[in-house]
Amino acid sequence: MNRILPKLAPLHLILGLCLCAGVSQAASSPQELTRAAQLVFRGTIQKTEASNLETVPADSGTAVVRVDEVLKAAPGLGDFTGREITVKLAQPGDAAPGEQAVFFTKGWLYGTTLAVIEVGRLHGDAALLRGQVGATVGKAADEELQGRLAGAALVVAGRVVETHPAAVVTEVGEGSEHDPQWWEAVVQVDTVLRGKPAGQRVTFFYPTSQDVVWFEAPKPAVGSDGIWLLYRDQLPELGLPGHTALKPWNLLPRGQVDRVRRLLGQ
Amino acid sequence: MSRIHQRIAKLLSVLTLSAFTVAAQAQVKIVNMIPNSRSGETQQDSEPNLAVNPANPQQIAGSAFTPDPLGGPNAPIYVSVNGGDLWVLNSILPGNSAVSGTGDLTLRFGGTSNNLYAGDLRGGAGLRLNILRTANFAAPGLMTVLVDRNNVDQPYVQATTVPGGGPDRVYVGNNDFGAVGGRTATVDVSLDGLLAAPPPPSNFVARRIETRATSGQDGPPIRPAFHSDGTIYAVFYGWRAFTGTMATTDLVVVRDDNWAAGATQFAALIDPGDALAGRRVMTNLQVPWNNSSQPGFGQERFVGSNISIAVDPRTSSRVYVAWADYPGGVPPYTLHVRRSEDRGATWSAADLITIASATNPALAVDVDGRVGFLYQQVTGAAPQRWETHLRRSSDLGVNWSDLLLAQPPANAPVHTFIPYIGDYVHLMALGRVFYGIFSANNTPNLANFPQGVTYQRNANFTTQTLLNTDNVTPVAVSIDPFFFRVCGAFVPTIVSFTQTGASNVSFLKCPAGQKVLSGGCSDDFTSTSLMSTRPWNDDGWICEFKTQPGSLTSWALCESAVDTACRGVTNVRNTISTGTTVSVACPAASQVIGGGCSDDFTSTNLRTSMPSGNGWSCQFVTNPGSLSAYAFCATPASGATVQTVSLTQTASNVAFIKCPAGKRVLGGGCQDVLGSTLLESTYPWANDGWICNFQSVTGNLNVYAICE
Repeated sequence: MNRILPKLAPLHLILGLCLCAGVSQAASSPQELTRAAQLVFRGTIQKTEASNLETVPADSGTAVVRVDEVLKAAPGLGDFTGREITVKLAQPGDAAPGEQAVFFTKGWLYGTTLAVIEVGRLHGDAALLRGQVGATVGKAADEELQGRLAGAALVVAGRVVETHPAAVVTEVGEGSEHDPQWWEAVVQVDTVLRGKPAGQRVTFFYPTSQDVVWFEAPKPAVGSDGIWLLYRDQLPELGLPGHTALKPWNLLPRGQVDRVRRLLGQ
Repeated sequence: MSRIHQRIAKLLSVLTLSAFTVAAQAQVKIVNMIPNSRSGETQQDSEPNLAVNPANPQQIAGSAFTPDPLGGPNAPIYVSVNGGDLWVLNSILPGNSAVSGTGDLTLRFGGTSNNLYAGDLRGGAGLRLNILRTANFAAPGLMTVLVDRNNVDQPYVQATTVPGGGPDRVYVGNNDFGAVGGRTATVDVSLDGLLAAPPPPSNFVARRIETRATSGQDGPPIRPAFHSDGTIYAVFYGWRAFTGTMATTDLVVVRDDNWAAGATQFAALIDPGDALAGRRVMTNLQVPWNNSSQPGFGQERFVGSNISIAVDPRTSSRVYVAWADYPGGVPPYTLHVRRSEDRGATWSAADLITIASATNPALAVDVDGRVGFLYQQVTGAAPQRWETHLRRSSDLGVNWSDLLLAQPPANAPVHTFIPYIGDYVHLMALGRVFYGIFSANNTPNLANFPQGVTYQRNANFTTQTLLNTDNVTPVAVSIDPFFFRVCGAFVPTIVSFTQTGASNVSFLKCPAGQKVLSGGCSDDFTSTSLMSTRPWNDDGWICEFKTQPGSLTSWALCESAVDTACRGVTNVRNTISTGTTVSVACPAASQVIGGGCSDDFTSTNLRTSMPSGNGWSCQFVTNPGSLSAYAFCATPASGATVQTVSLTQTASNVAFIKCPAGKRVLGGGCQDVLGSTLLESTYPWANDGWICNFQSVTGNLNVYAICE
């Protein structure tokens, strides 16, 4: 549905500053724009000076764009192929109905449809751009993991052989619903990928709490096996005297070991 | 009434007194807040909070454990700009957890500043308190971080503006583990929220409100409340002992009489037992602690976070508190409400209301002193249900009505994390409207929503299936936030203006911030006739008479903009070019509350201006080319009925009628049944009746009053 809204009555909200990443469209490569964007899609401008989201007033800086193909998006976004969304243009007035391009955008409003903020736009061979974006997306995943590996004090592959309550007191005590309920896990290391563990076994703290603040953290049990990215001062304010695993990515499947080696330059 | 007594030669001879009641389906709007573009989401969007902009109640912000849909670095709030009918997500909170967005999160608008304040535990950052502000909650751009401090729990924001153009005052209750000596109950105060500027703590000051020894800390919830006269209350659990599974606690209320702006803060309420600041409303409460999902309690946990406080806007001396405990240390988890009439010094000896097997109490008081009590109760067995109730009392908590807002299953979905539906909900009042938010199982089953519900996300209520953005693919049931709004009965402000100048037109406007519901006109017994009695835009009334003998009065029955908006007050008009009788009907689902007639400047006289069916009807003497009828229409209020009463006057040219006891007049009309005389006056009689004055006695003159 191509629903175009008239400019709203004075009650409508004035848009704030553009969230444009400061990336110059003319000077930015597909790789740079892909990294700066959360949603990348090939699309066709349907209407300029238009909006199809109630809370976004139409003006020279907005356009309604049909999403022809999604090239990068979080999995949880859903499939917007074929749907029309509102784009806040990086440059007001810089759009023409019928224009086809690859749009690099950041998320803004999620309502009956989406409103996104353009950080860049590229024209050219669709297949080529698709490949470039795809390659950057794939590389970004590696880059993200590479960063996490670099921040880890230890990266080891091994199996948990013991878990027990931790004799540690942190600022957030048992009287908070966000009490992490610290336990320790002991890993029998079979492969050291980064760092120098003191021995064949390493120990780390993890929150057993199912509270919203901590539930994502790995909850190892005896026998849990994988690649452990163990941090010091993962959340410095906790003041924990040892290694921690507080995020889902602190545990990787054993099958990723070659990838990890590659990213560590081994 | 002396003039009427002079004019009336005989006692009224009542031939007929009739009344009809419009069926009053409660006016309750419940909206599932998940936007349509998020139809595929299956997050556990629990622990909701709500903020309605007092300066513009169409602007509403909401929160829940909702992450950024694109996995970006910032977490979203829910935004509505049309009073809660439609919602969008806007990611303006720094920090984002991929599953919950943030940790604890609450929101509040300033009183008149249009600024939105938030207090949260930053997403992905443990117990890192942020207090934030934005001037435009629907625009892109991060909220400004005003406070940034670690090891703090449950920030709960209240904000207002000092009347008379004063600054925003912001009060954020929180449990600060960094406080000395385990006296962790804290209220972060800003005496000028708009001037608060980074770096943190900007101009916020952490005020410690626990004056007694604790067992190592106070309980998680610290809830502030304000009154426009500068009285600030806060309530908290003062933990005196903690076994790991049970907290022995006082329920403590503190008070400040000057915005917490003085040399000492929150020290105005002294406990007579120990002469320390902070009145111990209850002592030795047994509050269970079990920080895991409880199968017998609808998968929710016990973490002692369930207290609430609300002040009567009419008097800061009257304050209500609610709390939860195991009475005498014995299950079930039970909610209690009590009241103070003397600024917290003494409290009702017994509960005003007690609810077993319930959690998440939330209190609010409207402009008429009607107290609202929102809570969620586990009922039944295998499967249990989470019932969300809104109770209301118009008599200080003696009697309570009950609106069941939702009753979905409590055993599905299986929890992803805790809290399952939340450690709190929120209720607030603006005008006579109660606004609130709760989280619940989102199965699209109308049986789960006895008051009705609106879904933005795709849903098939026949198959009781959620559907993805393609409107085909089924989506698993999850927990969603639900906004609701309950309208109250009108209590019109009646204003008048007397024209003594040369003009034959008398007109007036409603007080600022109010809209017109209906109006009237009086020739003040000067024996001129009426040509028009009609609305002037949406906030005034105009009367046009044939001549100006010396005194002509116009009347307007007005109501606050927030209350008229809640009930969707509309003004419909019908114009005819031929014929002397013109009528107009209200839209379906609304009912007539008032009306008017206009000769459209054609200088003909009015005989009849009356409610007719579910609309309005006007009869004129002639039709010189254009005649109009107006009807004011509103949707029903919750717990009130619109009733039209009428009386036939046979012996006088003046007819008048009173509303049934306890009801107020919203509008009224007059009918020259025989079409043989002229209407001179049609206007309200005090706040509960209507008067008609015709040119002559015909033996058949009707007066109507529309009452609620």
